[in-house]
Amino acid sequence: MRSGLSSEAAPRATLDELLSGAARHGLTSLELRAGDGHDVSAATALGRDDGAAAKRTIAAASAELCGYRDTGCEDETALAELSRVLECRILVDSPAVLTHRLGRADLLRASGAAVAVVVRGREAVGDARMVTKAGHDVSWTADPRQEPLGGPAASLLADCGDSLCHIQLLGGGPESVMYEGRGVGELMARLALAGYSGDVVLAPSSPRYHVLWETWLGKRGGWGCGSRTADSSLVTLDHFSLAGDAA
Amino acid sequence: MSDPRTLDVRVIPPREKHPTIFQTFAALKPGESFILLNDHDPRPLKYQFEYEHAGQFGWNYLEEGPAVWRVEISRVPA
Repeated sequence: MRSGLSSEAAPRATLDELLSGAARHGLTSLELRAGDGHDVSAATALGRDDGAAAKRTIAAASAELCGYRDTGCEDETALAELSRVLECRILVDSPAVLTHRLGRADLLRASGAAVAVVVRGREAVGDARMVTKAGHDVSWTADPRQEPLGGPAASLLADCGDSLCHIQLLGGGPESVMYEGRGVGELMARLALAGYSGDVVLAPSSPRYHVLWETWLGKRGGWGCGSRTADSSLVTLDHFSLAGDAA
Repeated sequence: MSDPRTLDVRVIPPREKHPTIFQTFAALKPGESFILLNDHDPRPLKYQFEYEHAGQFGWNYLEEGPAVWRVEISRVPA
């Protein structure tokens, strides 16, 4: 499993600033959202030198680009080129209707792109089944504000197997203290015991936390180990399929 | 899914961290392990393991800062 940072954490940050903020917190992969301040775009990739330069910058920081979040504004052929030049998945997060997203994913794949289709919300598990049935990888946007994450995590791991390759965890990083009892611990335990080999990328739960995130990215350190205030009632793996079954 | 089992506790709310770690440990079979990923040296956790699971666990530092600590925690074979 790789832990990473989404450019959504600091939409105005340059690529260098994102990489240094990620390195400060030991995050080794980077997800870039189309249109953020990193200046990587499908147009960048079409100018191959610019695309290669971005790739070198990321590699020089000992990081990897784990996904480029498509917002539906860029041409499929150019996005496929970006996927090839930067050797990263296109995370198909638009249009809003799943069947349309699958159609866009099909077009991207036909153009040579590596793709994963984004699922989120209460429909995530059902949508993920349709995505895997269509032969695509799954990117899950996990939002602890909407529902406890343990149940969907168990279902997605069981249903998708290796097709579940990317998780964007909303509200990690400096917000993590706010989502106590929402299954984040259970999610991470399930991923660990399943030997999950994909990415977990941190992103804000709301744009109103951008200042908090930008501050956090600028300094080292966490929120402490929590041993003094640990509360075992907050984590339940009783219904967990045991390690040997999950792996 | 064949990666080494990695439990990144940095994103877990503080009061859930240790319970999550101990429940993950409880789910291991003898001889199995996981890698704990943390943003500081989890020495207090080791003391808690020594108190609650004396003789039942292995503790092996794989990386010691400055940004990340990795510790392989194993369940001692029966």
